[in-house]
Amino acid sequence: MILSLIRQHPRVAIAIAAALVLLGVVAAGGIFFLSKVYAAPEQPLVYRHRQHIAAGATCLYCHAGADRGAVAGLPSLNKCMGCHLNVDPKDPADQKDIDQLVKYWDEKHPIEWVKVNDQPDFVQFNHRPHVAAQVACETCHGNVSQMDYATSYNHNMGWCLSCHRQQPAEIATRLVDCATCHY
Amino acid sequence: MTKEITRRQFLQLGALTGTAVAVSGCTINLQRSETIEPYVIPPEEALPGENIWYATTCRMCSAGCGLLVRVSNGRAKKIEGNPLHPLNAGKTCARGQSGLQYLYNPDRLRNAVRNEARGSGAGSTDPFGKRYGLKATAIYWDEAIRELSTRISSARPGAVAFYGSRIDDGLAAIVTPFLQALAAPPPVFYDNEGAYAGRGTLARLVGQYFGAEPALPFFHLSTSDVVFSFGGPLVDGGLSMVATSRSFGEMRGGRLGKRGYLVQFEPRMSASGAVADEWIPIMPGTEGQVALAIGRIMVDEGLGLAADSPAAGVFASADVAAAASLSGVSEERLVKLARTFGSFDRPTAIPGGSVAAQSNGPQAVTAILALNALAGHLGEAGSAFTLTPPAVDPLLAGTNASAYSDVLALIDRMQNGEVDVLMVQGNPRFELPLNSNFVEAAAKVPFVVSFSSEPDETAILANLILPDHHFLESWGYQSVAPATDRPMISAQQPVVTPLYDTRATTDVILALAQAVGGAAATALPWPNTVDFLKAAVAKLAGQDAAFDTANGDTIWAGWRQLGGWWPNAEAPVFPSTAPLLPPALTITPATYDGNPEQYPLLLYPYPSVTLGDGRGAASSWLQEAPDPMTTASWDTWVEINPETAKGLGIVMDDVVKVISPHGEITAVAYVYPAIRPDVVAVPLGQGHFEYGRFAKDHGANVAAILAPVTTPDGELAWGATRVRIEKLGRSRKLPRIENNVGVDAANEYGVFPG
Repeated sequence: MILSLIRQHPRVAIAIAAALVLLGVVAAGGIFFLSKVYAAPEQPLVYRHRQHIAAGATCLYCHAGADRGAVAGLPSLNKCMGCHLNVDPKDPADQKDIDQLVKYWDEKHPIEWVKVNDQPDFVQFNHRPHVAAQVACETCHGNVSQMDYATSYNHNMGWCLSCHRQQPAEIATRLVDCATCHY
Repeated sequence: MTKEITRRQFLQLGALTGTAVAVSGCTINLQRSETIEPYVIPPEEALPGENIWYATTCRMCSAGCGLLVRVSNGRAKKIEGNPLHPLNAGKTCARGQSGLQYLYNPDRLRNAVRNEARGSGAGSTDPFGKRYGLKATAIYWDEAIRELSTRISSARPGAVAFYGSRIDDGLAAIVTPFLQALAAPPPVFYDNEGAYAGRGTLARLVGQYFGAEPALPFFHLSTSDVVFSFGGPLVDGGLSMVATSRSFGEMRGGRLGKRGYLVQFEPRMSASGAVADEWIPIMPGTEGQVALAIGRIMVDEGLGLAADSPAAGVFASADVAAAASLSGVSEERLVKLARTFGSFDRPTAIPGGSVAAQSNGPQAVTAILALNALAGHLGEAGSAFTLTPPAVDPLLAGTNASAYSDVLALIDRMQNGEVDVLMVQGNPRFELPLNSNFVEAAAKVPFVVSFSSEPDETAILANLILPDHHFLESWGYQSVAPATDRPMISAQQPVVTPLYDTRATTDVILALAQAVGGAAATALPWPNTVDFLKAAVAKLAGQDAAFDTANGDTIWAGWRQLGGWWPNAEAPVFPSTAPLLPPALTITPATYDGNPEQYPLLLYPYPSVTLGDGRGAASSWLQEAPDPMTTASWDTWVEINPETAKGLGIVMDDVVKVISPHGEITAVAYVYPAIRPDVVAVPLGQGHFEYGRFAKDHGANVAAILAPVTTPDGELAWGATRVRIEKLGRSRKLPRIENNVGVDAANEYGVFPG
């Protein structure tokens, strides 16, 4: 059938083939693009969530603003050093990464972490009510205990609303109101 | 031969180019490049992105207004008034707002320095031909304190001196016992702005006649229905600008059910004159005679309560005709004014700083205060003025401002080689008249230390500069004076971690006391200012307060949270209703320095609303804020009556010399119809040749050319200098709104160097 199409309508066939090739390129580009966007970004310092959580650090220990303010925050360098001055790495091979941290501390230079999760400026997100409503951190951030680097999630409006809509009726109305997040 | 491009080829090329652009676009980093930099050491209590508000006290002048400072991510962002503070009730002035610019001033000293230029003759020449210089090398604080303590220990007994430019009660409470322990004369706290507001004279006379101890009065405009203000700044300065302006607003707003009536007596119309119902351009130095004449007419005509008043005797020898001829206010007008004052229920007469600044200042202030006693609007709820209550405890006491004569005494000691170590917190070299010879005297002191945050004119004379913290970085307190309706002690606490390697002067003195040892170590046993303050506020135990005063811990928490201590209920201290005023007061005619033939005009210097006496000049916000009457900024001008200007051939923006017998300055002429023809007015504040990039090289310092004349009570008679004006034959556009010369255009006219 394809052959007969080529024979009878060579121009149509070429057009269809070109369209298919274009579609393929666009799809490949899209996958490449999205994989880049949602990949864990390269960070200035080797830091593994997996190891810290295994060692007993809770989320709020380092991201101490999450239950009190809008921003979860990152730990200050002196908080990092609070442990690393006293604790040796389990794997001696990791010492070189810790030496890098100590270098920052000695120079009193803040670490320039690359932001992973972000919302556009027209969205007013606040951690505190979510933590207060007992939404677990991994609900939005995934199972960080199994990750090395934090990866970005597609926190778009549909994602937010899918959860807000499931809330009890007395608060769902308010939670799906535009002005709850866009003000 | 040209090759034609077909339509098809053109489209193909276009598609190719488009694809190339799109592909190259793909190499752009697809990830967000936004970074987060967490603190190396986070500020206490800081939560990312959340504001924290701290209560503290303003130190931009000596009033002691309560502040709330918004701190975000460990940085002070905005200063607001503390709404719970009874003095300023949530308001601040422009100077208070600009406190932030002193915190972030790029010219702040960032560590202790030794000035290698001192004594080496290095440096350049200031506008008055004096050598100066700063060749700073950084030194460690421990080394600096060791060196200073060695100097103090090896000084002769009593040969240590301290000079402070601002009334800072927390500092005074530590410096005073320190000098006492060293058997040295007490520190000099000469609040220059206070001197321009008549602080010393007012406190002494009000204490003498209306109370027991020297106490500053607060004039309650809000409960007055007519106010006679003799040069008193009501909306544009004074000892407590925010409180006075607020009180004025309540008077005009009809707190008594009617709009209060204001008469302003002053030779040059200030903003207070502009808002007055009547502005009376009186000859400076004749205010006392006018007050006496008004009182005499009230007694003679039996106006109000005057006839039966115990104060009636004060006015017995007043000569109305003489007062009229001296002051330039006609007899008819005086009678009308007396009837106005006498016919209202709640009249108030306010002596301003310009009255106290004449050779007859104390007599004139007494006469004006006596008008209040005559009107009988004293000693009851709504009293014309109330007194600042005495201190709750000696540890929390207010500081009595030193008189100008105390400053001269210190300079004499320096000149005579009686001072081995001089510590300076402030800028006397800029503030004092050139004739006080501070610079020559300082050169005779072997070791001078400055605690200035910026390298100002005085700091560059010092051997060591030990920069103080900014007030938003340090601890202290201010016993509010004048206080409005109750005792108040404002709390000063750090709202941010110190930006640089500076140290609180109070901490330096406490460290010195320990290093020197002996009586000093015993008198000041506290290791740091916080421990001193905790000991001081513990004295508030059992006092009425908005917080629990059960013990030291609850007081310390409440003190910092509320921003100080004051009783819940109003507790005004009323003046005596039967003051022991001098009978038949006579006023000596004022004398002015300078030969009237050579110097035909009387100089009327006035503190700038924004720059004050010059301390505000390091803020670009304050520099740019226009003067309320002339709209001028960034420069110094001389206000000349159009008639006088015409006589001298001077037009607007002409550059002129203002020459007194003691020096001369260059300023821009501002032809001003609202000034007496025999008076010229020049604002203070400009003329710095150091003090950072925003302050230096703008305008001229009129304080430098004042005559070294003192009033009978030892204050500087700053209103008693005669001058003449000389045209320089060139003009310079004054940056004012009507000139369209703003901060940028001013460069073009050479207002700024470079």
